[in-house]
Amino acid sequence: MGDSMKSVKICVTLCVALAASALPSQNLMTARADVFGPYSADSGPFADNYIHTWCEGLANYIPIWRDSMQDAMDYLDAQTDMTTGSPQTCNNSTDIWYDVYGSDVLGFYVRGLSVCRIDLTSEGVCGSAVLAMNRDLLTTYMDRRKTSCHEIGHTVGLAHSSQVTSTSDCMISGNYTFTFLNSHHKDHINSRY
Amino acid sequence: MNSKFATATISLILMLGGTGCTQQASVPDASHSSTVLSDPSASSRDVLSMFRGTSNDVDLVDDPDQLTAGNEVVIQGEIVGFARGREWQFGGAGTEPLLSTVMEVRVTKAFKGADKVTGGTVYVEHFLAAGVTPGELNTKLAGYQCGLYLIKAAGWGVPGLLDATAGRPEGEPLWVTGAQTFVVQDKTESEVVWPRLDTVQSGRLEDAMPGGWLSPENG
Repeated sequence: MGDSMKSVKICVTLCVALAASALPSQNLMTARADVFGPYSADSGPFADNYIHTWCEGLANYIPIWRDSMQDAMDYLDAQTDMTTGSPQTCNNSTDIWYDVYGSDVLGFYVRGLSVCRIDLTSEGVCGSAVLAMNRDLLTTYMDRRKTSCHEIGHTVGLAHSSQVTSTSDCMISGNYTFTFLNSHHKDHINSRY
Repeated sequence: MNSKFATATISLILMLGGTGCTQQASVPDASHSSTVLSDPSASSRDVLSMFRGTSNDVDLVDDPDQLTAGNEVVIQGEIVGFARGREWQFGGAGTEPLLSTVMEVRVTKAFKGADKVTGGTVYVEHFLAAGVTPGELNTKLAGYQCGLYLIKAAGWGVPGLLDATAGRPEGEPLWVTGAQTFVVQDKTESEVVWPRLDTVQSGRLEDAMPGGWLSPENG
């Protein structure tokens, strides 16, 4: 039994390796280096410092959306050198203005977006960003948590992960349930803040 | 490894190799190939630069015909210009409203919803195009050919929206596009740009429109 399991493990490893080697070169060419801010290859800008504050836009306040965002911010605090907290009153120095809209505002199949609203420097340091979530697409806690993690990542300079791999995290774009940052992305953050 | 297990192993290899294990491994049609460009043309870079600072989490759709099914209007046309759009109140009292930008596009071909663009022009909102003015957008993007998959923009009644009718002539409908649904042809006519995905691929605009085959590889 033990040998069989070991063989299965070897087989799966071999299969994955062989299948990967069979990938067409075109697809290999689509992989990008994982850059870290500012503004290159779909990364966000850098945040202004290690303290990352947030607020809820009062105009669209939807209480049930708070938990996933708070949990994603708490995760950033716990897993990196950044410091977050509970939502505060929005002002121009708040790092993330968080809000919720529908597809008829954000666009077709856009789960969430982040936009820098105050550029502090031309080199790509953002003083304050809007983070908007799509209530039409993010129907579960896990959906909201993943996209919160994803957009928060952009606000500190992370770029999209290009393909689903064994180390994929919330920076992959689309309908996935990764709600965490991988060690590579944590290292990026900790190297800066 | 015994022979039974070897057979199973080979079968599994062939099966996984056949399915590619992941979607990335599907074999593309050789007549339809595109490459994500890490060093795009100057005009592609111009287009991208106008949307820097905006990042999206997007469900990508594999082919243009799928996009068509989910949108009301699908057109190809020329970007005429940009104007100050609607104001959105974020953050409550005491904070400045944020502006969206409205893009005017002269329609050259309607794939779907032709009856909704009878005036030959569509007005499309880019939500919170922060950091870039309509003047800068006009300088960089006017005259480009683009493709758009559109749904009707939210109107009055959306919390935070201060002036639902701004950004276009009175009575004109306002449309909204997403990240995969706004496609631009670069000036060399050999590259296709998805500005809000920060993605440039080799190809022609027509290939990303209904009946085409080109979709973005994100990231």
